[in-house]
Amino acid sequence: MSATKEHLAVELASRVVGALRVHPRGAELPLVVPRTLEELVEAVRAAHRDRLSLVPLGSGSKLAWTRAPASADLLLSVRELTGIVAHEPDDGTISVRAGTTIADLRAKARAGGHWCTPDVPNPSRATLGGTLSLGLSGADRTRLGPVRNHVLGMKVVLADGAIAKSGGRLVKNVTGYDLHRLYTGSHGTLAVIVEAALRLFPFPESEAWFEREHSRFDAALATALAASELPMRWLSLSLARTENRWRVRARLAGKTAVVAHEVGVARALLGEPLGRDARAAELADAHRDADATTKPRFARIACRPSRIADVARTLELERGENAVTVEPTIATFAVELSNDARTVAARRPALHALGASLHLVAPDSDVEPFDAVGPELALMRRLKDKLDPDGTFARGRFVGGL
Amino acid sequence: MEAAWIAELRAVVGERGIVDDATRLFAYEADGIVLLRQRPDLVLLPRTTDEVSRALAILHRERIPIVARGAGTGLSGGATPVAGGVVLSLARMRDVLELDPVDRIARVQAGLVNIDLSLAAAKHGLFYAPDPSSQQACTLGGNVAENSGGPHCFRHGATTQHVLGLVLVLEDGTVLDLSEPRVDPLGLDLVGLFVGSEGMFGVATELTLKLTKKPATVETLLAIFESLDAACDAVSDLIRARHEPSAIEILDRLTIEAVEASVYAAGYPKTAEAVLLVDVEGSEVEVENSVRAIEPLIRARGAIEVRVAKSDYERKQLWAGRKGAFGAMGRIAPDLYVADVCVPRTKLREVVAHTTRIAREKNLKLATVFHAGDGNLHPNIAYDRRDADEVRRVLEAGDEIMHLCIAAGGSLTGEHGVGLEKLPAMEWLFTREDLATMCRVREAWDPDRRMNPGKLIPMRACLETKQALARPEHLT
Amino acid sequence: MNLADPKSLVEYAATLDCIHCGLCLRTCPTFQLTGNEASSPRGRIYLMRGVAEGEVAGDDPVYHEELEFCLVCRHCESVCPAGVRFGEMMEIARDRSAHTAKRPLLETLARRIGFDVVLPNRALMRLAMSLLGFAQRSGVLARVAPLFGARKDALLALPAVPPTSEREPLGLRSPARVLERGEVTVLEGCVMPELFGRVNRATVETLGAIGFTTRACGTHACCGALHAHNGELEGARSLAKTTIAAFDGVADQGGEPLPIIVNSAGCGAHMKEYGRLLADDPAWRERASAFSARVHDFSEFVAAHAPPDWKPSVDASDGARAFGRVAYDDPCHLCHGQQIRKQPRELLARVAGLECVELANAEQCCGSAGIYSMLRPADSNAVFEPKLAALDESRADTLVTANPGCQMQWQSGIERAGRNVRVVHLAELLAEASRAK
Repeated sequence: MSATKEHLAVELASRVVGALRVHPRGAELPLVVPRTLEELVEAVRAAHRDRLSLVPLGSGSKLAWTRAPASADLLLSVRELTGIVAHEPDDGTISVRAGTTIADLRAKARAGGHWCTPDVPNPSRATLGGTLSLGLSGADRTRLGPVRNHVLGMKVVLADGAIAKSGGRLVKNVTGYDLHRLYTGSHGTLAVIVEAALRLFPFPESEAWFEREHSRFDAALATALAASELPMRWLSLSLARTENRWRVRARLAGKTAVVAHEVGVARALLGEPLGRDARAAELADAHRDADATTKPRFARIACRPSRIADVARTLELERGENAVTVEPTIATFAVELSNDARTVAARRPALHALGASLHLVAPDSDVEPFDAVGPELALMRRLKDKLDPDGTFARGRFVGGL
Repeated sequence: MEAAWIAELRAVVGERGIVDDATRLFAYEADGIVLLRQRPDLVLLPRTTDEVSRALAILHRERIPIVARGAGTGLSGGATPVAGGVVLSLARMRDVLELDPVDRIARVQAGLVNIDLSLAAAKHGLFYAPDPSSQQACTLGGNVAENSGGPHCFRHGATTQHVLGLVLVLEDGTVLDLSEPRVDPLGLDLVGLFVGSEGMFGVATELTLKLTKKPATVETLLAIFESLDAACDAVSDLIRARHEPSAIEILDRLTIEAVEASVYAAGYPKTAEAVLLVDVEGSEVEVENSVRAIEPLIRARGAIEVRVAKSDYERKQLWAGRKGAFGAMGRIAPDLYVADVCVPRTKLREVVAHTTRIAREKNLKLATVFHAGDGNLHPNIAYDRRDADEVRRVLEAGDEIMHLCIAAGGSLTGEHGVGLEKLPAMEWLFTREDLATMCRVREAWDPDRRMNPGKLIPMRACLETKQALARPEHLT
Repeated sequence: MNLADPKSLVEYAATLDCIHCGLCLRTCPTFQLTGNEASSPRGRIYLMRGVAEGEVAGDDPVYHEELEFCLVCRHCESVCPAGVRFGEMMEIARDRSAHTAKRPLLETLARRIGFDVVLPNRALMRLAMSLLGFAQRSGVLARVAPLFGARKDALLALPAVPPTSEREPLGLRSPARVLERGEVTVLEGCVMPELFGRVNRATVETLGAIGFTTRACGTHACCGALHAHNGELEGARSLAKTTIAAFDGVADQGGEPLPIIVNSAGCGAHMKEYGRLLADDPAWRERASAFSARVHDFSEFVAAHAPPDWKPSVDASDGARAFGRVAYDDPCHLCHGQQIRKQPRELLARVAGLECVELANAEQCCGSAGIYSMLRPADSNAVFEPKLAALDESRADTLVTANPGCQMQWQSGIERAGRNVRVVHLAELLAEASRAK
């Protein structure tokens, strides 16, 4: 395949705005950017008809998080499908098109007095569609849980160009299957997410940001776990290595009087807050954007909370200088990789023995990004075959070659 | 002589694991909605995942439809048997397999009763948060199938947010062990997709569930109103003001009367037109702060009295009354139709008032009790199923209520599921493509559509999928 | 009562009260055993309605079996939001089903002898118990028990019949031991005087300790509770009348009949419902209601009437030896039948030096259920199992109950399991605690 558009039908060729490398190890492909839902449907339908395979994307910033497709003919971005479809501040819900950036979405929610999850790094680049497609939760997961819990409904375009919705715009609803759960985190293998509705949360009146430094991981972990047991609901709680020091970082947010009280309680363990209110938010945003997952190569590890120390030992976290972010209450690690992707990949069996999972993002190396999936892979393949029997959405990018 | 396949099943589940006499099968005709009845041909009561798997393999071979059943407390006909089918009851699978207070997870068999998990976790200061009103009886497996809610899901989220892993048996007997709790799914989110699939994807036999730390402080407010409209407005105000209590419930006058006449008498004032029940939980200061902010809002809408429960006992009574409300309606009429519609929380008053009008026009007795904070309404219509004309009017009213909610931007069901009862209404809310997509997903799990057949997706949508899936000519 | 009119076979109107919500399922001991819907209260009501509406045959043996399988513990009533009176429905369904279902001849004979002859007659009961005592002591019982098949173990598990000296009826008048505050009478019962004479004496002694003089009710024996629970409503009605007549004769000086204290929960629950039992009998209706209003459970009466200065105690050292950790187990017909839960616990808490613990499943049936443990020993033992597990978990040294049937069930169950736990009736403990000074 090449970045030429000769093989594309006119409906597609006319929408090509450039070319993009789908993966460092893959070819450059024509990039199609529809401006409306109708154009997008038309493009998918044309690809389906001509038996072409496409890779759906948002801004394309995380294309390399998956594997290179087995074969692909074009890239299809939703980035021009932006804007709010419905916003009900008094009901606490928002429904937006998938190309909307997380920053725009959060700004809109905030204008209505709400916080919108997920609080992911580089929100002005990340689109909601791309974020949901990868199933990414943000730093606010400590309090709010994974993003998939707050997706109320979705509209997607299927391989044959059909538009299908699931769920709705209601904070509570069980009408029909939760297909939006299936699409969330499906890495663009089943459908193109074109619209999603999210539940909103009250925007905090007041905030506080704490940092406490340790020279050793174990000590930092102990502090973070002690913080998690304090009688307050942290918005985010993490420990990170920067400049060879381990820093416990914790963010309080809520009603003014409550935060004031909680600051008093947390002080004994974490010291004075480094920042309050607007300053706290600035610090939080800056650290979020320097998260280990923003590096070109990194590993994501998840385990049971009781296994954090074991996993840290297996990863030999105490050694090295690279960036590390750990969310202790969720039990996830993000570890920057230098040229050691193979070394970390070799630890996969040891991590599995601890019940941990490993996702490697090292596109310039030949390591397998995803853990092997068990017998349930057959079912995942049946789902793929049912929804996209012709492979319109490029195969090979996700677990088990889905 | 007994059919060979029945003998095989008997060998799998044992003598006590099989029900095959007409009289006992009669008792399995209906779940919580007795309007829908069908006697099954056989009931199986397995004890382990292995037994379920072996039984399903036999039924696969024999091409016999299967309806899984927990406690049979569902209100949408999700467990109504199908003609010529087998009911697979999980009632004998109720062991707690693992309870890990450090990771705050429990692994249980699917037939464990909801409340029993919270009782088992209590000694560790933990509980299982989703609390359907039937939690004294309903099984966790049933909760998973329906993605059940409950009053406190307002804060803690519905069942799906608390399911971390599942052991699934597919229609052909294949066992998928997805029990390891994962932060994010590995590959497609099969567990998340399964929750709420109403028994049509397979049978969940073992569940890995999240346990929640008991809140340090809980306060329960009871606000008394002279009009149901005002109570609804108070709730809309609470949501608008961005308050986050853990539960917001409304009971109307008829419901209060029924509850107060029952063993669950909670001390709701019998003269009130509506009461609003609000739970606030969290740290002491958080709770104090919230209560202080919430109370004036409620009063501003004309609450004639706002009481704070003085003791744990009183708090429990107030909630027991709420949770016994459905059953207490037995005092009003032999049967009860429970609608389960959802609407945006800005529209509570107008929709509730409209449902009252619908019932009045049809000369039906309506009691309303609902999860107001979530916008999940339960207009309950009392009737007698022996009165054919009344049944007809009830069903018409149910349809009108669903239409009304769809028009208001709402949906058909918030926690009871579509089941059999709301089947036709699916076409009012979803397009042909929407339903065809659901049908395809279902067929990935159950190609022959033998698991809980005829539920959730109108048959027509499925037939259309079949046609749509036939390849267009130019591709062949 | 005929098959042509199936609505007469059950209390049809009451079956319509059940809204099929299922809140009863988890409380039901037989549903816990089988997981079978038909063995649950909701299921049984559904079958009853099925009989009335012609969907289930009135003489269907499976229907009959499900009725018999029920322990009528009435736990379901305690949780039923619709207020279904399940116990009453069972009594009626069993009574009428007995006319249609065919019992084996031998069983019919045994029932007639038991219900019609022995139970209502104190002398015959005494004779029967003397024979049993002889059979136990001589070893004859051990030899003949196997002839009773499945009931062998239940027979062997019967408590040893005490010596004749302990089986004397109560004295006609047992005076208060402190300043008299009133007079009462007690139900001595049918089996009680023979097997649990000590409990009757302890009842009187405790009443005396709180200032009540007890007057006995002559030769009255049976209140008819066992009849009613086992589908012998005719016998139950006749015994109710005998009982009312007998107790109406025990009056104070002003001619007012005395309060009736009952230390057997099943009997008490039944006697409190005489008004309903005889509701269709205009000659007895009002008299029965008035009688029922005078019936008090032992714990109910003592808790309500004990003077503030009554301070029972077990000496720390004695108490530790005698009772140790004490767990109270609610008899079904006390907690579910009479809604009496607090009073026994209050009384135990009042005893100085006593360490009380709660049983995890105190309100669950122990499997005694009147004569159920004799009729269906295997099911009865299975129902008992989780009770024993809860007892073990509580690490109690003494199990306190307030019903003789439960006391027997606990005693034999504990012996069978080889546990070293003492079983006492609440009255026994209180009598001992009132004595120890």
